Amino acid sequence: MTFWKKKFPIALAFICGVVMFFRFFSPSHLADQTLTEFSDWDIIISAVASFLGIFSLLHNHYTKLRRKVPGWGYSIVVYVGFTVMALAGFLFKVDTKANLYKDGLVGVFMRMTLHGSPPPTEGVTTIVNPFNWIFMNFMVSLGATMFALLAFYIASAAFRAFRAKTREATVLLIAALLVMVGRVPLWDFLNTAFSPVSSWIMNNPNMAAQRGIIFGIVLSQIALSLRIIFGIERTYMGGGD
Amino acid sequence: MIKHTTVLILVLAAVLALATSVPAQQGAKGGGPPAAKAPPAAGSAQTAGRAHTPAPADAAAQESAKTKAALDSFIMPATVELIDYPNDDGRSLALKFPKSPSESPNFTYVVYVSKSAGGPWYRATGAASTSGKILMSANPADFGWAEETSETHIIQVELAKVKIGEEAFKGRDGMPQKNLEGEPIKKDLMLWDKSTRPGSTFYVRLIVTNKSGIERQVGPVLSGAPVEQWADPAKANNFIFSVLFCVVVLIFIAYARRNPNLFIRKIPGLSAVEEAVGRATEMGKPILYLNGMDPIGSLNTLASINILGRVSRKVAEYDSKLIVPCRDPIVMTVSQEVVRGAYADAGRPDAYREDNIWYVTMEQFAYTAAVNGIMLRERPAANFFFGGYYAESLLLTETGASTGAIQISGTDALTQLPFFITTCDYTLIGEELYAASAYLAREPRLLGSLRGQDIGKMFILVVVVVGTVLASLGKVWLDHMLVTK
Repeated sequence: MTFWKKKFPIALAFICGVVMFFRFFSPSHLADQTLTEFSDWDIIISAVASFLGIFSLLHNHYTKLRRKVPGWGYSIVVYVGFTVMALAGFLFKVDTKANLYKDGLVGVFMRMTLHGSPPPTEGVTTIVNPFNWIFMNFMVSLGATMFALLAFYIASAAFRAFRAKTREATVLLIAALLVMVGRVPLWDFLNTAFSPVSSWIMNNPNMAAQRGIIFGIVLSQIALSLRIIFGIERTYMGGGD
Repeated sequence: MIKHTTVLILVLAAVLALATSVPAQQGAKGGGPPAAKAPPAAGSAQTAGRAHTPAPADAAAQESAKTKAALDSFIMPATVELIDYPNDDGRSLALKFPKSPSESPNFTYVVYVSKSAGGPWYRATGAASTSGKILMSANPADFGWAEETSETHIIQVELAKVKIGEEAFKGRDGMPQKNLEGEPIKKDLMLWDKSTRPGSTFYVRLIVTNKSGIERQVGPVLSGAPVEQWADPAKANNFIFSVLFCVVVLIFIAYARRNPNLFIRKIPGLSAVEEAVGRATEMGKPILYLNGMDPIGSLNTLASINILGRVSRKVAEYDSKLIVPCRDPIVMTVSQEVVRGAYADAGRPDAYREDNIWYVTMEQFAYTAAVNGIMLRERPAANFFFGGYYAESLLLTETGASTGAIQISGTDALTQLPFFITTCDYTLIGEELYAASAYLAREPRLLGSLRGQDIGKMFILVVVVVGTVLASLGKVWLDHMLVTK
């Protein structure tokens, strides 16, 4: 058991890590193929794991429904949404060319309600795939709404961050104001006057700090990779040390 | 009469179009002296259409003669060599030739390729202007910094990208496929097909053209075979630094085994982990832990999972509740395994609840909405945000702040760091995220790697300072040594 749970994963991590390290320094076609092969395995594993994810999601909400925990009504929404999207994905072809008669009432309904009513041409017409339609009109819109909320969150966060309570906060406030005035397109004369200052702050002190952080991140990533490749860091395998 | 004139125009246009459409054929016959070419079909049609307006036709003819004369006066490069493109996978050749004194933005070099000396010829991807972009000095990693590299052109001929036509894309049923608009889907036919291997012979012609599209061949038809390289010397500096850094880290890991009491500076955010877990336990509220938005292949997610292992152990010891909504199914599976192991290590395997670590969705903002909902409904006393984050970071942490939870975050996403710093009580910046697991575990071997990192940082710092001084003094050899692809 220890072999499969500990030694085998460490050996696998070591082999994969070393192979991928040397692959980076080889321009050969074989190196390219190796990367493709590893990426393909990544995709396969992700595809298999998605079933685990779906099971986890449904099981979690089933438990909530069964126990009638507060807010269990949302779990019904999850089940309805999941079922509708799954049916839409499985029952309708992705290709929008669909036969009016073959698709029957659903096809006619989709054509009439979702895509206007183009005149049928010899029994074949274009309908919108329901899966795409739901995605475009629900998911994308809701996602955009969430993203739009960010503007208000930034405003409230900026209010907290820029309160000049300390010397550092005052410097931050002044720098932020200069950058904003130089970049926000309110008045041309302000933009023209402050644009060089804004660019200087972004390209010099800001960039210097960012590069310092990047150096640290990259070295830390190499060190973490080494710890994983040589089996020193094993927390990710479970079972602690 | 009109009908006859129209026919005449069409015939003239067709003849001129034929004469200009395959410029490579003439040169391919012998690779003899450079041959000036007639204008392309479009220009020919214009000439034909001007039969009824003699004055503009004369002007156009004069202009055409002028541009042709300019091309004729173009001083050809003395030598043109076809070489294997260095440090590649054997799918590129390169044309190497010295700069011509006649070069100007009015002229462009174009490359035609064929699998046989007699054609057919196909234009290689893109046309290279005569500007500095195709000088060898533009790619010092492959061609070095010598003086002559700024006087020599190198045009990479990417053989695998030479398109020779299109064909219908067929499905599994053998039928041509159509896109959502009902138009047939086409796929490119490439010169480098399945039977082509590195080492196959290709024929290449260098053409110089002017703005009117008149072409003139430079030098003879050349042939060559690309060679596949196994190692890329242009990355040697990268390789040496990586190996040296690995050796340093491994040395310090070995050193730490013998001297376990290594000093590591205090990281306030990590020191507060225990405080946050204790606070949640006292309040009888859960602890929310997020692994970030990146998949398991990202190092920041691995770092986050390592921290999760340490945090969940403390949670198990305190007998508190940990909830981990996941964005990726693999991350979820690994997180479940890590937390289960941590509970077992803490001697509380019975307290582990798999339902508390579940998959939500891969949709970025749907996930954000779900987690925000959890924060508002369950009111966790402590929120941990470790890993890679994007635009959702502020939405998550601001909501968490509004619930009054103690918040600890850590990310290597530079653009999100300001948001975390603003809204969280403690933030691990960049490298601290990767050091967190070692810091929390206090295991000598892990701490040793941190000391190795410090040596690496010291080295980079020295290189930056020395490089700045040398560059200020006009000495650029260090800068040249560090150039990479």
